[in-house]
This record gives sequence, structure tokens and C-alpha cells, in this order.
Amino acid sequence: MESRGYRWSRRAIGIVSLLLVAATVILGLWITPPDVVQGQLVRLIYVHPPVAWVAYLAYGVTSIGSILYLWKRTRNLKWDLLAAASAEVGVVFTGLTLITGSIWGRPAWGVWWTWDARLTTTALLFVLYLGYLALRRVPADSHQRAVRSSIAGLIAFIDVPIVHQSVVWWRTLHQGATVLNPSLSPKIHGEMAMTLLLGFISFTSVYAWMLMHRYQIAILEQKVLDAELDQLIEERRREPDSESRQARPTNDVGNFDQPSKV
Amino acid sequence: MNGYVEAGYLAVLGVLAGYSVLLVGRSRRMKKVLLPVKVKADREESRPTE
Amino acid sequence: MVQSVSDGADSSRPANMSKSKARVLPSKRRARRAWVALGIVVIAIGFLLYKGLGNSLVYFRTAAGAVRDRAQLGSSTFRLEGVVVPGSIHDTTSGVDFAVESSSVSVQVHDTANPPQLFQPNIPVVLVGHFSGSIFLSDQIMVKHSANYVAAHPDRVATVNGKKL
Repeated sequence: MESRGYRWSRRAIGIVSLLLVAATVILGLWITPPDVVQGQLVRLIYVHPPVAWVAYLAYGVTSIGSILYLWKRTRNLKWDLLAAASAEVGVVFTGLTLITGSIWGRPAWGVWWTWDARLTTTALLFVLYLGYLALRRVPADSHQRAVRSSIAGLIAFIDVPIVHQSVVWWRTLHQGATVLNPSLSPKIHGEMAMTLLLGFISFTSVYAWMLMHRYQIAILEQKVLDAELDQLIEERRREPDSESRQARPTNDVGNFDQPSKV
Repeated sequence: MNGYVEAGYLAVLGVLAGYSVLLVGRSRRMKKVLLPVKVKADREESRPTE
Repeated sequence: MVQSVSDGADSSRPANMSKSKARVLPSKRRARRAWVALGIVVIAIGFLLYKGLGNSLVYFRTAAGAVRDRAQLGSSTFRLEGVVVPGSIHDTTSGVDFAVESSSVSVQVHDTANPPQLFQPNIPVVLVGHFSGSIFLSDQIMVKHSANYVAAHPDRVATVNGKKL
């Protein structure tokens, strides 16, 4: 069902994530100093860029999974399920990016929302991957769905570099990158920089835990689907006048560790 | 602090916690569904082939 | 080779097979919901592209650029960017008067909205409004924050906590 090693590493990552997030919150809310210009508002900077980074990372994993599925030599439904799992976690983090950005924007900029390039392309990113998830729910057999969504996932990923570079390519209200800016010179220092770094690490760890969990669910769902299909075919075979008597559908799900029943 | 900061942290922690609970619940439910299937499959396996 | 498992399977599901048994097999209702969701997404993408192309390509005009194109801009509404000139800020009954500057070209601003809390001299702002003669009438001030973060009173905090992190 689920290997012991997988379960244990997932639990370990879960515990580590909890501790890391707790440390980020304590440092971010109480230990770090207020900013010269922003005052207390600067504290949101320890969560907003990290959750945005996780969204990029998640969509990167979705793209890798999609490529590995589309490439015939590595084709395995597991890659498609991994891509889907990562996309769902990515959507959660993109949502959080929009929410935290909006909460910071209201006091700092004076508006909850504005149609500058960074905000618009981020909203587009959110919607594109919602579309990816919706597309996956359109009925199709596993292979068809995998091909379809792999292509969609790769197309949606085009927006990720656009989001990141939007503050360079266009005039935006949103500030440029603090760390990964074109000159690669961080504009944050000392304990503030350390806390930001910790934020990146802890939310990445949370992502890893969520991905492992979501991926496991996808695998289990696929197994249940296969079992249900088997049952359905069994029942149809038993119908005496069945015109639809047919061979087992070649809805091959790749090499799962499921015992072959033929 | 100033309300916004708290709201931001609360949103992040709340959404992540909520999603985590959802994931744990879903995987438990899936495992439960799969249990009888697995048992049936094992039983069929041990049966001599037709 | 691959047949459409879902639709056929669903419509010909034997009556004696209880619905609750199928947990992940797509049902017609689920399929319809998926299509509706996709439709909404497509509409949302269209809306975002429309908003993006209409606003983000030229999100703001700099003070210098706006002064140069003033004749052409007329009294149309646009976003104006510049740095708040120190010493130019005067509170009025309805808002605040000040000047913004870019490339040493300054524009006098008459604002009728409450400025956000970070509004201060020397900070870059984006204003929404239009020209009236040589004065820019603004009804919204947005503070354009830089990507720099500097600790306020770093020494005090360090002593309070007893150690540097």
C-alpha cells in the first residue's frame, strides 16, 4: 500500500516542517526588528515571498512530471499523478501569495489590489493551474487525461518566468525582487535576512510534506479506480446477453505494485 | 501589532493547517475504501485460476 | 486502443450496483461540474488578459513623461509616478497638496483622498487622476515601496534580546 520508508520520511518531514514554521513565526512576529519605513508591516515579508517561491517550485515539479510522462522512455502514470499532486499544492500556495500580498498591499500601498503586471500575471497563474486541475476532472481514461494535462501543465508554466520577471519587464507598483534581483545583490541583511531565509526553508519543507501526502492520495485513488473498473467489467461479463462483452480495457496505469489479476 | 500582520500570518497558518487536515482525512478515507478491495484481490489471488 | 472508459461505464452501470460503491469513477454530474469549472476558468483567463493588456503594459507614466505628453493626455485619467518632493506637502481639508518629481521634472499635485500610512517625503508614489492645466488632480495615492529592508533601531533590539541572531 504505502512503503514504510515513505511513511516514516513523510512523518519526519511533517514534524520538521512544524518546528520550522513555528520558528519562522516566532522570529518573524516577535524577534526581528521593525523596518525603518514599513514598521511592523515588514513582518509579512517573512511569509509572502516564501509562499510565492513554493508556488514556483510546485509548478516546476508539475512541469518535470509532465515532461517525464510525455517522454515515451520515461512514461509512467506515476509522473502524471505527481504532476497533479504538485499542481494542487501549488494552487494553495498561489492563493496564499495573493492573500498575503493583498493584506500587505492595503496598508503599504494603500490598495488591496491593482492591475499592475506582477499582480495580474500572478492572478493569471492561479487561474491557469485551477484550469489544469479542472481539466483533470474532465472524464477521460488515465492515459488520455495524463497526455492532456501534461501539455496543459507545460503551457501554464510559461507564466512562471513571466511572473518573476514582470517587475523588470514592465513598470509595476510591486517592488522588484529583494534577493533574486537582476544584480543578485540582496537588499536585506542581518537577522531579517536570516528569518526570510528560514521562511523559504520552512515553507519548502511544508510543501514537501504536502506533496508526499497528496501524491499518496493520488496513487490510492488510481488503485481504487482500477478496482472499480475491474468490478464493473466483471459484472458486465456476467450479464448473459451483454453485447458489450469486451476484453479488459487497456487502461494501463503503469507499473504499480498492484498484483496483476489476469 | 497592527492587525494586518496578524491577519496575514493567520491566513497562512489557517489555510495551510486546513489543507493539511483535508489531506490527512482524504488519505485515511482512501485507505479505508481500498482495504476491502485489497482483501478481495488477495482472496482472488489465492484462488486457483479458472 | 484506449477506449473512453468513463462515459460508457457510467451510462451502462448496472442498476444493482450501488452508487456508493464507485468512489472515484467519474459520474455524469462530476463531468458536468468539470466542464463548468473549465468554462469559468476560460472566462477568468480572458478577463485577466483584458485587464492586464489594458493596465499593466503601461501601468504608470513618470512625472517627466507625463509633462512631456501633457497636451496629448488632455484630461484623461492615468497613473502618474514620481518621488514626493520634500517640503512640498501641505495638508488640506479634503486631502493633501504636494509635488512629485522624476528626472528633475516636477508636477504639482492636488489630492482629494486620504494618503496611505507610508506616505512621506522622498517616497515614490503612484497617483491616479488627471491633469487640470498644469496641476494633477489625484483621487488615489499608492505608495510604491522599494525592495530594501532596513532594521529600525537595530542596536536597541540587539540589546533587548541579549544576543544577535
